[in-house]
Amino acid sequence: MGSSTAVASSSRTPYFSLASVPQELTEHILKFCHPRDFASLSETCTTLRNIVYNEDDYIWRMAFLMYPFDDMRLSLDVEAVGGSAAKGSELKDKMKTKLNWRKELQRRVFAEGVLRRPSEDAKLDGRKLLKAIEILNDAVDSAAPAASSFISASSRPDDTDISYNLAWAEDTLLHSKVFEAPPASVMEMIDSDPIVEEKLERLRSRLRCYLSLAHETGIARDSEERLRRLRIAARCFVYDLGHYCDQTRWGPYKLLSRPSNQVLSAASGDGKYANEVNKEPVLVVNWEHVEHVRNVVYMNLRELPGYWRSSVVPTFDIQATRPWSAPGYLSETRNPRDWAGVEGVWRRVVCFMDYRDLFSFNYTSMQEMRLHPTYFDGDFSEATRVVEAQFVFDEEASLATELEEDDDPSYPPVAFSGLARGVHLTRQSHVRGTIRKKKDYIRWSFITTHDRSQWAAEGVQVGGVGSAMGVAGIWTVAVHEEEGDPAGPFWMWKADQSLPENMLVLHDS
Amino acid sequence: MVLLVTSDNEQFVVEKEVAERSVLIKNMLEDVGESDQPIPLPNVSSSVLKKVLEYCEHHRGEPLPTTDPTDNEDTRKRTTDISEWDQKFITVDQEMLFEIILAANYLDIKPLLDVGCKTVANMIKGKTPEEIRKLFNIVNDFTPEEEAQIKKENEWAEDR
Repeated sequence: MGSSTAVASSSRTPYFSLASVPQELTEHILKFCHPRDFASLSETCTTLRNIVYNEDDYIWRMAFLMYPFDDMRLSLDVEAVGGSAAKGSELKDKMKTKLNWRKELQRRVFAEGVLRRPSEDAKLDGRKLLKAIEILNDAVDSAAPAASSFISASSRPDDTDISYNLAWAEDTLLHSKVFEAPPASVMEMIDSDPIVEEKLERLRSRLRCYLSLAHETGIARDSEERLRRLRIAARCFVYDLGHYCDQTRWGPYKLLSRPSNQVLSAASGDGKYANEVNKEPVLVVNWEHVEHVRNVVYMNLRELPGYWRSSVVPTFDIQATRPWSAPGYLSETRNPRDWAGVEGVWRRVVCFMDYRDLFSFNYTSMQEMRLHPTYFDGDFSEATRVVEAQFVFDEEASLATELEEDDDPSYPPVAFSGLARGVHLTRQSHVRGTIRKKKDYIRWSFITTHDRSQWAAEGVQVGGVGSAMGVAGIWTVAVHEEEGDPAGPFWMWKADQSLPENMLVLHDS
Repeated sequence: MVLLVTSDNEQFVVEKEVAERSVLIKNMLEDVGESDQPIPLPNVSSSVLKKVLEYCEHHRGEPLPTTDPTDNEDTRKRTTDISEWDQKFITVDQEMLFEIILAANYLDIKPLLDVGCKTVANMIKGKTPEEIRKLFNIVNDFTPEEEAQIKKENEWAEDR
């Protein structure tokens, strides 16, 4: 223990005092205390303060691990794995020395305190809320990688192998108003600082997207009703062709009118951002869009016949966002350069509206009916196709692919090719694409060639590197002539094995 | 049978299986081998030993923990759960509670130490600094400046 710590005196006034037991015992007691109690204890007297705020982080590390949170040292593996082994371990050693268990635990306790506030306490400081959401996002991003891959996209191999960070984030969100949709109730609580609000909404949608329908049973009547409303909202969003243009890559992105990383941190309230407005707009993932994509795909899949549902149902389990959790990711046969784990069998589900429907939903001559939710009332249904894809990591093409400015240099771009076969298609289509790791997301783009038609897809990984949750995004035509080209949602995830042949042949939606 | 002698010179004759709940005694017996020599426990008074032996008697035959459970990945989650019997057992005045903790530490009876420490942790839980001081007879020795400083350091714990 730190040399500055006073050893508890053995003076035993009336009876034992907490401050007079040997320090090792006080530390043992602290192992069973909530970190919040650390704060109260440290305010009682010098002896206890010195034990709590010791130079040595021991009790904080214990409290962090037993909260429980993922061991921060494990999370470093993900950051280190992209580079060469030597570079990776060097990087890891460097980062290990920077781990601050005390600060990180304090941050998370703070976030939990802000987010789990009882709802009747309506006055919430927007900056505090933003800071809390940032911390939650950080905890999700630093989820320790899976030690065992999902067996299939919908089933965890082992209930004990979970990420504590993700479990905590999920629990905190579920007990927070922030998780509610629509977000209006949250927005009312906060200051009307547009920059704080924008960033808050962006981070919130990402967390919402990760969880999405995980806690809807669809069985209870109120759940069924929520799903019905979510479905309409999701369809309205993903089939609104106004979202698709060159600026948004025809994918689930949106433009921000200022650099997102220069928005002032919620912690420092010095208003520094004022002169950052009006800079070049930046492209960011529209997580709300991604959430809608998954919701549309999932709710269409739910309507498939039972035997289909059981083999082609993706997961909303937040544990499936864990790095390395995709089936087969941890296999020794994976080429280490294929950090995305692209090689293997994928299940891709594509939804599309009949083009006449899509067109009339967007451009009906009755102005007031354009993009109107009632379009999807009643028994509207669009087509849903299950595609089986077999992708191969293309090492040569990967090496030839240049790093983009905003690519993470420790994860060089991955190029892949492959074959895809849909249920209604007699011939296979060819797929070529690239995967790039950006600062805070993983971008998948690929082109599918079928006969003479070409289709493009833009998706983002839901979760960390090699997550079982897979990739969700937008398909559209490969060559755009104008706005209004057809587009629709897709979701794909790694499968443990191919679909049985008869399922590919028999299905007709 | 094992003969234990307390700090106030009382003698306790205890079955070996019961006495060996204490890792300290277990190791001593292994070092000395079969012997009728009494084992002196100069740090434990008779009233406390009586209580500790009651615990050992109740938990005789249970497997001894081999490692620190708090270091174990699988059972890592912090818990202050105490079994019903243990809870009743540990419902004692505060002086006895700390005596038991000290004795469990000295005698190296990990499960008993944990029961004691969990009990203290539960007493602390959710209390204000002033309430904790009162509860444990702690004297506030901070200057006003120090007090202000420490409050600032603890801002992270404010929202609850």
